[in-house]
Amino acid sequence: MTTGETTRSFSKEQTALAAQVMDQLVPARDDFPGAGELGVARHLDGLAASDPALGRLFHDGLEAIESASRRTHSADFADLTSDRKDQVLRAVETGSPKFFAMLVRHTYAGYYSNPRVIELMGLEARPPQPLGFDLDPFDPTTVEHVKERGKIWRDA
Amino acid sequence: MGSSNDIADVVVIGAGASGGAFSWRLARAGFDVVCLEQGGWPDPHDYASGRDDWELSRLSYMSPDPNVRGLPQDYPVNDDDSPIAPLMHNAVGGSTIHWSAHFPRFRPSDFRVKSLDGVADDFPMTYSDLEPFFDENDRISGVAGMTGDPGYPDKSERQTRPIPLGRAGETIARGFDKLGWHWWPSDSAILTEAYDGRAACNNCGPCDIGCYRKAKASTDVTYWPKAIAAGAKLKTWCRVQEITLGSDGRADGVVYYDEDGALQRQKGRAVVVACNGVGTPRLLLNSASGRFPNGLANGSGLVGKNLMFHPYAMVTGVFDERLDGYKGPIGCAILSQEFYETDLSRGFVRGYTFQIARSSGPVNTALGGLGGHGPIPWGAEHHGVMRERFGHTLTIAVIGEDLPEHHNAVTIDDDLTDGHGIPAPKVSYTMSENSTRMMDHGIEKSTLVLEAAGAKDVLVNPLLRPAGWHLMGTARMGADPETSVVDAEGRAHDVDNLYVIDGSILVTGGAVNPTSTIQALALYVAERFVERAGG
Repeated sequence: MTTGETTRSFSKEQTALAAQVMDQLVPARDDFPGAGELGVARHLDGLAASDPALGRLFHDGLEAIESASRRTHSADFADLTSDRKDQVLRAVETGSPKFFAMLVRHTYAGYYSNPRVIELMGLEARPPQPLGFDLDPFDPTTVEHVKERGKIWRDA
Repeated sequence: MGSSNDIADVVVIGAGASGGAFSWRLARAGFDVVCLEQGGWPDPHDYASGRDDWELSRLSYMSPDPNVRGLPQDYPVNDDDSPIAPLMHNAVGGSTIHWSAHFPRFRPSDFRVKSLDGVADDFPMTYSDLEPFFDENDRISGVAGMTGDPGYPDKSERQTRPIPLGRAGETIARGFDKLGWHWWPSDSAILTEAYDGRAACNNCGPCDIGCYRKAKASTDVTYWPKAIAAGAKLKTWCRVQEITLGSDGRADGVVYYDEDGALQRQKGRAVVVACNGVGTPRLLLNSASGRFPNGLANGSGLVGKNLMFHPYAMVTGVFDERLDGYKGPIGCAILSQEFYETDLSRGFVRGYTFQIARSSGPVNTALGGLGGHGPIPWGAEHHGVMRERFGHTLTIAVIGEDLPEHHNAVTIDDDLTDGHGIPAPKVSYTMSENSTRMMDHGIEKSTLVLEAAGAKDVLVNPLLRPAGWHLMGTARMGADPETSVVDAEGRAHDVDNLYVIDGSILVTGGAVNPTSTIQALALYVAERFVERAGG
């Protein structure tokens, strides 16, 4: 199933703003890239292009972030300090909770399904199948003492 | 309208847990069975567990919530008036495609809650009556587990050895042991060894997005191949609009939309409804007629009433050590029934099960984990919290018995329809005072066991919203036509050749995942059907 990543909904400016925002949500730390730097904005853009209602939510939400930035700090979001960016985002989180929840959801989804991030977490970047995982078989002796306790169900 | 002159002996609506079991039993007895299923055949190798973006499938086309999926074979459900969202899957196999396959049986007391505890009603049969059907269902499904559980009467030998505990299971078992509480490796409808031509589970994790190896007993890989080999006809992408009556007042077939969207008729000598606890009352209510103005077989007024879900409280332990919960079947490890039977000193009647769930991948963890604890924080704290949680949690699901109440109901929504214009259902549900007290108790005891197991932090979700896996009670069985919809043999009191066999017929919900009991009841109803026909 496609997440629609080949089609576009965002302008160049919107993509850049989304990336700035995502770098605040999941910032770069140690070897981990920021979500914007990793290109997760393209994942969001693809979703916006494939679902018009979601697209409107994201367009309006990004607009709300930029206008909150200009209103409270008289500057573009991109030019704010990291602390001020967080302040703006906290205000939008409160003022546009539905947008913000979807933004966080899809930022995390795009970030943590990225093979580079998965490897940085110490995992193999492969799907669960066909290899699966090895686990030791159940050891029946571990419940001997539970059995000895006797019946705990009621006759009926 | 298209029509076939063929009159089936039995028209079964829905190819899920109960429809598969019933169709197999009837076909094997020589009946001419036609089953209509609104979804298609899944292809296990097409499940997302074989693809890099597997975790994203849960957020879209493999979500258990039909309102999230919104696929053509799905119907929307208005759940605005319910704190629990009903979940289901529409395909051959039904909701066994997405289930975790945790397969405990109802316990003997679950069939007798009126007699024992003075609440709700008794089932019109006992655990002993159903036992041969539990056993038969286990043989067809293939159950991993172990005999000797002091929580149940002795059971027949399980088909394969228990599911591996993994570090998550071993860790929480130590907590139960420390407190001296009951636990046991769960009966799980997942093979740990090859059985009946199906492969063993390889512990890949996400059973909920479909089993790639056919190790999990979804009915598309268990009952259906056998039913079809025995002569049952399964028509996919066929959505039933209504059940029709002949001039004698008996059911004479169904009207359905075929794969091309054309209305068709399927005639039958008996009609069997197996559409789950939401889909079944929807269909009966949508089949209202001059003879049954309030919905088919609804003389009691109870079609759609007494909806039970099982409220789920989710309590997650965060541990310093690695638990690697993404390895191993997501919902199957061990259970505890320490607090299952009634003890009024606890402040509530009946009880609950602890089902131990493991954990899942990075996306699921970041979004709040199996406990639905909400997304982990964004910003400067993000990576630290993620590192503490991923691979370091296990979740206790507290499954509480949910007693039937009339006001918890499935009705027909005034506006909403599916893709064919058929009116869609609305669910209304309120947690009872008894359930709330029971969940509070379960949360307190879960916290104790997690702490005993060494958890450094405990996260509590008092009521999981996407938890309506179990859809029960909306066409309940009983001897009295005033207080039940179908009789002790699954036959509608008002229409003697109309049957209901899914979770709708449950009188009470027990405090365990209900599928093994639903399937045993479907086989029980099938057996009575065959006997009556002299088969």
